[in-house]
Amino acid sequence: MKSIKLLRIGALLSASVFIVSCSTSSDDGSLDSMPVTAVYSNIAETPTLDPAIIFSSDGFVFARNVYEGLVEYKPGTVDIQPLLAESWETSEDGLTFTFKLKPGVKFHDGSDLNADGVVAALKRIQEVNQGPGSFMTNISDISANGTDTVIIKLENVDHTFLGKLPKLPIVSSAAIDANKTDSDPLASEWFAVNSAGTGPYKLDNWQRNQAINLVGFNDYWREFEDGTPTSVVLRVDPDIATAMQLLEAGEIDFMGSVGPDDSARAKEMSGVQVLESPSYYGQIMPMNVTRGPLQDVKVRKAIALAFDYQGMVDFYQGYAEGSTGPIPTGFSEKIGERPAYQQNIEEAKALLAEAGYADGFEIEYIGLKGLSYFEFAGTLIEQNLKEIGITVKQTLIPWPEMAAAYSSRETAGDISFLNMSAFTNDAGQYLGQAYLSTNTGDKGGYNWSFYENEDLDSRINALSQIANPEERMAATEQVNADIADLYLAIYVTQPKLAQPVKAGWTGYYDSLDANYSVRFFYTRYNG
Amino acid sequence: MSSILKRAPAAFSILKKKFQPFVSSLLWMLVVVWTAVTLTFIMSRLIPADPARLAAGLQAGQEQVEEVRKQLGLDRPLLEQYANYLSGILRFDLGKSIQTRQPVIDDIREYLPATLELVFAAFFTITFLGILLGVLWARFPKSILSKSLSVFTVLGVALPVFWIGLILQVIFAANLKLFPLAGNLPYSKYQVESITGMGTIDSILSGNIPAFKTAIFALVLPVTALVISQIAISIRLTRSSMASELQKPYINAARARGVSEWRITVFDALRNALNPVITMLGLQFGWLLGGTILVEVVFSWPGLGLYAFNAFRTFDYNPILAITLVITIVFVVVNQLVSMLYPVLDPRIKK
Repeated sequence: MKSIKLLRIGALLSASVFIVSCSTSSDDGSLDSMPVTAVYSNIAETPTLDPAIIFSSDGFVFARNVYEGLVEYKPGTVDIQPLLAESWETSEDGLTFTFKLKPGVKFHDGSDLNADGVVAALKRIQEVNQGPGSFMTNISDISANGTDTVIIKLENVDHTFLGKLPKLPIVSSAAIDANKTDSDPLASEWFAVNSAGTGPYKLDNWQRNQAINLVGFNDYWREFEDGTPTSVVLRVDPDIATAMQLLEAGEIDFMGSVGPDDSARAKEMSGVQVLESPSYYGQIMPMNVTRGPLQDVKVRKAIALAFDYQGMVDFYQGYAEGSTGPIPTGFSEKIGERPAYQQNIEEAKALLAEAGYADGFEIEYIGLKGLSYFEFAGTLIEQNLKEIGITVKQTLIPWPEMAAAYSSRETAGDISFLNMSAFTNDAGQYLGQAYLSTNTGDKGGYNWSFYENEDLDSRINALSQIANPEERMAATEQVNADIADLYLAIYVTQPKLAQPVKAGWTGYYDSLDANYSVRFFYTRYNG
Repeated sequence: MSSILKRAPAAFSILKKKFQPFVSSLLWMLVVVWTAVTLTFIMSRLIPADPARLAAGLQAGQEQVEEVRKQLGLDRPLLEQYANYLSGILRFDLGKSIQTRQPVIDDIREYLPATLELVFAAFFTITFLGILLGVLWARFPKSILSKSLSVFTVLGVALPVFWIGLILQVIFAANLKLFPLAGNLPYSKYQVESITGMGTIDSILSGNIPAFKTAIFALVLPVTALVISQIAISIRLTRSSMASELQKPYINAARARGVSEWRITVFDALRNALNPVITMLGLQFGWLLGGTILVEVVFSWPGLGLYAFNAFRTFDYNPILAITLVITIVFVVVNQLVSMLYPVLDPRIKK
């Protein structure tokens, strides 16, 4: 705490000088008229620059600024808007999507955007079959019609398909051709450390473990408005405390990976604002239903009732709200209107006695080591369940071990903790991650309750086949309510997406890109 | 002719005598390195973690995870993986990083120089200051300097190095603004070409004085953190070794002959007191290499420590093994060099 006070004094003394970049390229006057550099700091650096592999926030922040998809999410919303495709049509059977490409779009390597290139780029993601490849499993065919039309055919009807397209970045097919080899036909080695997209920023250089430097793309198809960053630095500061000091000293503008507890601290710092963006994620404690007393829904409900939800919200000091069920409230008004969970020890005790466990039992909580909220949640549930006679044994392990423990039913714990993020605007897809029987931990997914029910599977899978968005949402709300009644997890809280940012900036963090990604073309500095 | 032939076995035995210690110590070094690599290999496979799943990403299906596992050779039997790894080392191929998919040897080449810069700077500071302060403490045990040193050395050992780093940042970077908070020389900003990967040396080589100044300033805080946390041992060891030397009869004899105190301290006592200190310094070099991980994390210093931190976080086998290999080799080589220094300092050891 003392250090924070000292920091504050230091920051009062220091004038927030805005870093003006000298590194923007000089061959185009438009980008140099008002150079603005956005410095973004994250705790980890992306291991690869290949957008067909990138699938974590440290990589998204690179991919979303350098590459573009056919469509994108409008910043701060879950609405789809055109990007490389200026328009599209869906066939009556819902299986064929026809995209008309925007004319005059250039890649960073100088080549032009055309239909054949888009087909090659999409097929490359399919063939690499990692990360974003998981959004393409339903695609049966991708083809070009002329130079400006791309046709994508689906195997099964999916009315949420458009929401997956922002996750499929288009790379330059000329770059694939120029850099592929016999042993590396997809030019994976080249794309791991180089880039050729159509995005507003292009890779200037990558100083490994220090910074990825991006500069504005002179031939970008949209205008850079005043205050839009003309260059972006993606730096690495593995220690949050160091990054916070750099932020207060005015050396960085945006931060990634800051938890709600640190946001509360950042709000007190001078020259720093906490930028709130809509959040589509929730924290849950899945209960393993495959063994022991947790097989009984009454026991699970008793545990959920014993949990101190307000304690968790208080821990986040205003940067979280209570959950109302499996799906985050941002997805629909009706979900937001459901009552938030409340602690009720007496009812919990009664339920436990009804289930025949009045004397209690012992269960294991497996949490992540080193993350404050995981440890807090573990201690909280240990105390709460003690009140109803259940002993909790806490095991805190690093993430690789935790993921490995949950890859088998035998080694999985009884209760764990997960951050559930939505990756698309499809609430059904969000549900599928944690409740489909095809996504149980031993199958590599995040159904860490190991709940398997064919009827529920078909209901979740059917959601994407409902064409009318209102009807689809109504059906989703019903599935959501039914899953809530199964008490497969404790719906701990919904943290807000609130990140410390230097004063003077406006913009959004992208919740659908694992929360910490920013598209800098949509940010403005007017400090 | 016959006399040459007769002399040959004799010459061979002289050669053998001369080189036997060298060959046996080389073999010994190889055994140590092999043991370290093998133990790390076994440990990395014993820990119940699945790096392929981590590398495949959060949303990856089972099929995608298997694909990554196959690409990385993690689907092979353990003995085969081990044999592949050992034969790889002999070909200077340390495998690929599971995370970056880049050859680990390239990563090591890229990150080691920044770490060595930090470690060398800390090591020379520790050697010079440690011996100097140890001698002063032994020479003037009742002075204020000695009393404050006895407190300071305990503190230095007791405080965690990342905490020391954080405090230094708050005072000297955030508040006094004397030094940068984090990072090393920003090469592209100063347009310095990376030749050795060490900011100070590269800026000298390119004749860029402002860059050199920045590189030195960037070094100060991380090096100070390392020095504070590690210097206590060399100060205390020098002090105790010097104190016992200063009690010995030959010192009194020298004093009786009227040799100046300064000469006695530096040329007689210190030279004899140095052997245990040098041994310890040799070990300390290895510890510095390992201890720099946390300092690099706190100061965002782009070296091997930061690379190791990320590798441990994600259970990236090959970098972990390679880092073990590098640290072990440096440890073993430095200690070998130290053992070669003994006879220089103390001619009796030659016998």
